[in-house]
Amino acid sequence: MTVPGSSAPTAAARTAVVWCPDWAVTAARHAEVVPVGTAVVVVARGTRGVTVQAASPEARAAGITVGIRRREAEGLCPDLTVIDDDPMRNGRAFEAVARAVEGFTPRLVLERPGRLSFPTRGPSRYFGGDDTLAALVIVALDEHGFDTARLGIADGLFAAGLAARAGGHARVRIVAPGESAAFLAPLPVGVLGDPELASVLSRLGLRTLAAFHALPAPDVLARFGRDGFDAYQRAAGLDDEPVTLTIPPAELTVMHEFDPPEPRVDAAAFAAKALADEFLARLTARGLACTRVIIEAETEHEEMHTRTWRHDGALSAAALVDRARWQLDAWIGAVRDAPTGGLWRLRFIPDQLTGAPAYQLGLWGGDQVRHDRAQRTLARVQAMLGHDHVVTAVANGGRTPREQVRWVPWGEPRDVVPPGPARWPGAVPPPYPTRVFDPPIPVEFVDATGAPVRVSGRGEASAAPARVIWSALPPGAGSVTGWAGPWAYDVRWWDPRAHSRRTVWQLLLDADVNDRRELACLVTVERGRAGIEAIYD
Amino acid sequence: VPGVVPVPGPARPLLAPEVRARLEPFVAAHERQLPLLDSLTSMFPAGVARGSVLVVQGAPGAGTSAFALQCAAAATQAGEWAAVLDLDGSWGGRAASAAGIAMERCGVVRGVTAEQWPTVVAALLDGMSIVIADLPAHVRAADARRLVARARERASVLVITSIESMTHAPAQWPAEATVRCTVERSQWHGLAAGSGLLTTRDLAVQLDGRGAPGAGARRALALAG
Repeated sequence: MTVPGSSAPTAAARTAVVWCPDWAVTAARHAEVVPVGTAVVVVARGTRGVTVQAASPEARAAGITVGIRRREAEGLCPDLTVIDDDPMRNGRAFEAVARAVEGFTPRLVLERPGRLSFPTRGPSRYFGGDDTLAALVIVALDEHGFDTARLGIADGLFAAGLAARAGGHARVRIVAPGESAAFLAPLPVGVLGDPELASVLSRLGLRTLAAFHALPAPDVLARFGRDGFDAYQRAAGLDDEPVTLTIPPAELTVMHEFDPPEPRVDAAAFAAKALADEFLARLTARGLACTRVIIEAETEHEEMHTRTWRHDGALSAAALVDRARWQLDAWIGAVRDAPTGGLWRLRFIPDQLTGAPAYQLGLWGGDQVRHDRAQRTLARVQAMLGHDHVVTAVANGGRTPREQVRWVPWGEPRDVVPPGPARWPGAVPPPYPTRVFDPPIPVEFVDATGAPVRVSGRGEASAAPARVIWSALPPGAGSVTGWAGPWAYDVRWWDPRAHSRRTVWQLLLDADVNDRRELACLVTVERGRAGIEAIYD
Repeated sequence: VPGVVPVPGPARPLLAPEVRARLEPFVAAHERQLPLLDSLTSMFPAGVARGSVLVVQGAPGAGTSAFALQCAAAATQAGEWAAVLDLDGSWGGRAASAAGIAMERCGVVRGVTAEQWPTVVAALLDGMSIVIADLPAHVRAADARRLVARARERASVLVITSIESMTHAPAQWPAEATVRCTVERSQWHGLAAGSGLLTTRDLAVQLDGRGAPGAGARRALALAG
C-alpha cells in the first residue's frame, strides 16, 4: 500500500478558470426568458423549501442573497421577477461561453454550467503572457455578451478558481507563478469545499488555510484520512488533481452508432443512458472511477463536436447523461456551426481516472444478486411511474404518526435522524397505527349531548367524548368505548399566522352494535375541526 | 452436410426421467419457504411456499394491514426484499418498522392508477421476494391469473390486502389464492374510558384454501399493536 503524498507533490500546472457568477440568471437572459436590467432571481425547491439559487446584480443591490427563501426575496424587492431553475437551459447556454473561449485553446474542461477551466501554458506563450491572454479572453467574452464573467489564473485548479472569485472590480486576478501558497494562506478554511472538515478545523482554532497547512502532514493523514489529506494539499496550492493513470486504456472508451442517424436529442439522450451504464460498468470492473470525460459526437456528414467535462468526485451515469444532453442540445440548437445531418456516433472517452471509492459489502445478509435484482426492479418502477412514486420511510421527529415518518424517494440517501422520545413531549406512544391519512378524514367528534368536544387552554376536555360521526361507518356513527388523551400541543408557536393548537385523542370505537367490531383510531382536533388522523388497522 | 435435413421424430430425452430428477439442482426445503415469524406457525402449519398468493381481507380496523406486515417481517429481517404497493398513500411507515420490517429493504410504491396496477405488481414480482399490494376496486380476472402465474414463476410471494369500506363489500380477488385470510376482528387491550392506552390486541383470523390448516379454520394471533 502506498501512502498518499509519500511521493514528492507534483508542481501544480498553470490553470485559468472562467467563472460566471449567478450563471442561472445569465443563462435565462441569454435565452431571452427575462429582459436585461431588471431584478431577477432564479429559484429551486430544495430541502429548505423554495430558495434563491442565483440573483442578478439588480436583485443583489436590493439585499437579496443566495439561499434565502423566495418569500423573503419578494419582500425585499417588490418588482422582482422570479423564474424557476432549469438545468437544461443552464447547460445549453454555457455552450456559447465555451465557444468564445475555444478560440484561444482547444483544451477546455467544462466543470459545470457557469464554470470552465483550461491550462494556460501553451496559450500564454502563444499570446504573450498570462496578462495578455486574460485580457483577450475577457474581451472575447464581452463581445458575446458575457460581461459579468470573471477570470483567475494561478498554479493549480483550486487556486485559480478562488482567484476568479477574488478579483473584486477588476474581473481578472492573476496570481504569479509560485505565489499560489501565499495567495491561499489568509483564506478561511471554508473555501476547501468540505463543510464537515471546515467545522472541525475552526473548532480546533485553525481558521485559515495557512494554519491548516502548518500541521504535520502525517498527523493530518492519520486524523482526517485521504480526503482530509487532499484538502491539506490544496490548502498549500499543491496539485489537487487526483492520482491519474497517464493514458487511460483505449478499451475503456465506449461508442454508440445510430443507424439510421438520429436527428432528435431526446432519442440520442436515451441511447446515451445505455452507453453511460456500459461505460461505468467497464470502469467498475477494473476498480476505477472517472473524474473527467470527453464526450464526442459525430454526424453522418462527419461533423465533430467534442467537449471535456470534469466533475468533483466520480461521475455517475445520470451525471454523464446530463452532460451528453447539454452538449447535444447546445450543438444542435446552435446559431453558428450547427450540424447539418443526424447524429451518427456518440463516444464517451475517459480522460482522467482515479481509484473507485472503496465499496465494502455488508458482512451479514449481503446477498448481492438479490440486492441488485431488487434495485433494478425498483428503478424500473420508478421509470414507469416517476422518481418520487417509489419511496422509503425514514424515521423523523414528531408527535403524530403523520409527522414521525419522512418519505424519501428511492435511491436518495436515507440520512436517519434517530428520534429522541424526550425531544417530543406529548408524542403519541406506540403501538403505531398501520394506516395514516394525510390530510385527516373530516368527522364530527361530540360528547353525550351532541356538542363538539373542546379542549381548554390548560389541556382539559369540555366533556367525555361519546360519539364519532363518520359517514363511512354503517350506522353513520360509532360510540366511543375507550379513550386516552387529549394530548394538546401548539403547532408552529413561533409563527403568529400559522400558529394553532392541536389536540390528539386515541379512541376505541364500537363500529357495529350487533357484531361488536372494534375500531381503534387517532382523532385530531385543530381550529375546531376534527379528523381521523390514523386507524390501527 | 448440406442436404441433410433433421427428421422430425418423437422427442427422445437424453436422460431417463428418474436420472434427470436426481440431477436437478439441490434446493433445501427451507429455501423453498418464505421465512416466517414463529407466531404465524399455527396459521400456516406447512409454511408459506415461495410463489404463493395470500389474500388478506377484513373490515377497517380489523387488522388486515397489521396481519400483512406480520407476514413480511421475518423475510426482510433475513435479508430479503419487499415492496408495498400503497394505493391511497396511507400505509404507516412507523407501524411497518415496528412490526419488524427492515425499511432499508422495503420500497413503497405510491400513486398507482387502477390501469397501471397489474403492470406495476408484475414488475415488482420480478425482483422482490414479497410484494404487499392493496387491491383496487376492479381487477380483471385475466390480469389476476397472470399475476398468480408470475408469482409462481418468479418464486415471489404476493400478499393482496383488501380492506372493505364499511359501507361496501370488499373488493374481490378474482383468481385463485393459496390462502385466503379473513381478519374478522381485533380485540384491543389496555384502553378504557378515560384511562390507559392501547397496548396489545388479539386478531381472529379465518383461513381458507389449500395452504390453510383446514377449510374455514379459525386461529388467533396476539400482536403487540
